[in-house]
Amino acid sequence: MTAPELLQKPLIWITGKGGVGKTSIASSLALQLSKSGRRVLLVEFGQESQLKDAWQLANLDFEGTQISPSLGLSRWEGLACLHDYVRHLLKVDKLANLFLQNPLMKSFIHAAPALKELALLGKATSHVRHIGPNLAYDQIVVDAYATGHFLALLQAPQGLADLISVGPMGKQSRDIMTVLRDPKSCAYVTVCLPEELPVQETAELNQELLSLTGIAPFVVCNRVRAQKGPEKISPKTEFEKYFLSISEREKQALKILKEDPQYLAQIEEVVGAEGRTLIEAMTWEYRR
Amino acid sequence: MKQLIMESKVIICAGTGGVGKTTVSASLAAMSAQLGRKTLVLTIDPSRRLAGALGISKQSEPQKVKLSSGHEFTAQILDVKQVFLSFIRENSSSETMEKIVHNRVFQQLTSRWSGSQEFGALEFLYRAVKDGDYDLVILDTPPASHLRDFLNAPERFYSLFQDSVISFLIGLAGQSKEKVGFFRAALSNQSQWIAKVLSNLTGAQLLTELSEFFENIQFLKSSILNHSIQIQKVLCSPQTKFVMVGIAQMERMGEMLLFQKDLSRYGYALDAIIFNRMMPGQVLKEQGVDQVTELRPTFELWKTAEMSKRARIEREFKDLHKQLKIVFLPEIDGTIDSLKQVEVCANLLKSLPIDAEFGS
Repeated sequence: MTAPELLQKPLIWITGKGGVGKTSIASSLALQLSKSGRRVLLVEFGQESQLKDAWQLANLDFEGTQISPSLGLSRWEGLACLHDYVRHLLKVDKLANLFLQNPLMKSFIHAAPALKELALLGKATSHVRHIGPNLAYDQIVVDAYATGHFLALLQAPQGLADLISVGPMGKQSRDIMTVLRDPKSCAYVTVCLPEELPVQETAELNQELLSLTGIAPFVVCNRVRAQKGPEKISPKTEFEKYFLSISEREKQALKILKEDPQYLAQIEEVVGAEGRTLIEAMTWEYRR
Repeated sequence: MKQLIMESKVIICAGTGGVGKTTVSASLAAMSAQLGRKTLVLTIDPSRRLAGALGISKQSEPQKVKLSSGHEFTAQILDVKQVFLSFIRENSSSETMEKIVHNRVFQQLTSRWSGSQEFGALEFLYRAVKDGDYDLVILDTPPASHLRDFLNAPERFYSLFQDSVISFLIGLAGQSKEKVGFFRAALSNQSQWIAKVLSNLTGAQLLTELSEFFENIQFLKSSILNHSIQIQKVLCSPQTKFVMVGIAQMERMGEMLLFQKDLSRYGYALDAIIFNRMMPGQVLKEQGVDQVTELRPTFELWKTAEMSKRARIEREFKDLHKQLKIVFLPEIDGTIDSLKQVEVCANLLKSLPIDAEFGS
């Protein structure tokens, strides 16, 4: 049963430091939500696809792939979203193509890169804002970038605010910011590992997200390895010492994480599974 | 590893995020310091804790890190904006400098340009090498998912300064300036139309600032090209070694192989791969029956997983093995403080037999 806190959010952002398992957590969450009767879109940003490896697909593009009637996957790239947006603004496909395929235009997009970020954010928030092409989904789960890159993404509208305060893009930026700051529309989930450094970094990240959006992120702990063992171990063998040191380290980290009222769940490491098997085997132990 | 350290002037540590690249970079620096070499480690995005432990801050001044053995190395954090500012300062008048610094495009967007962070890192490296103050400079690269994004950064960055691009961008601004008008007139009809649409979409302010910015920095083009060439020379030098840091997780193996391909496509050689956080050898050697009963299934599970990781590494990387050093670093006790971890890691790197798993 998925956390009630997340069930009602139209837009859920999954972030965390590089390497914590954002993609598998986002995939696992999207799968669970889709099984509860909602139409869910799991989307990643950027030119390279991590989702295709996680779900063992040949490739994943803007058009997307339907995994089940209630779960779709897609990869949104800034330029493709900009295309969508320009088509929506210029109303005529031919014009939009002419505009965007012009090589000088491409260099403009290169020089003013926040435009791509705005296009991505615009598309992600479009179903909440009821704008743009209709997205046939109730919820969007975003396998977002890692920490620094994600914060830069969220800061893009603000960064350009002065420069594009008038005109349709200016209004779009402000509307996007409003959605990103609305706790009824958005939830942020930071993924952590049961180790001291990631716990520290997660706390820093949560602080930054809170000041950017006004919303306190939820926290989940991934790859818990050694919390299911005998109550007390007097370690005699090398493995027992090894296991104990990992167990202790995890206990300390989890203790700190649980002090956060937004701490949601821990997910045990799944050993020896890959792809879809792995995603389906991930079990969320919610704190109650 | 000792040989690697002694023979290099530059070591570039590459790898995706979360593999311990920064710790390993710092450990290589520690090892180098202990071998008596004057060493600088340039890091991009260290966690606050590691930065704190090393005594460096985002202020990006080089800091000396003292090890418990008494040796020391220097550490510094890359600040892309500072790198660009120094670059601009060295190549322009103070008047132009002022205009650029106050331009909001520069303030907001330089760090976001495709290739800018990587170009900044390489430019940083180039300066450190050129100044010649150190025997060894270690670069901890930005966590890129593809090494080629790092290696082709100068190209991507430079592409912004093509003549046609510059003319277009300068010509985007309003009709108020004569000079701009000239550029505008030189644009094709289609480009003019695009400029108009952009103006409606984004408002005149963005285009004006973008235009002014490029007007002010266009003369930097030849310096950028020149530096790109110099950087290339450093990367190609036989005394520049590439070290990949990775974790033996199934999901990551593919990435690591791509890294290796990217490097060889550019004609660089990968000198070593450090697999971090492996199960310690002495744990792997034990038998299931030795363990406490409840732990036996866990032991079997972990051991099997570890064996298949190592088998996969042998399978996938064995062909590379001939030219390449492969190192397995065991997990380091995470409860000790960061600097101590760096020292432990350095000692491990020094003492580990290379390719122990592959025999002769």
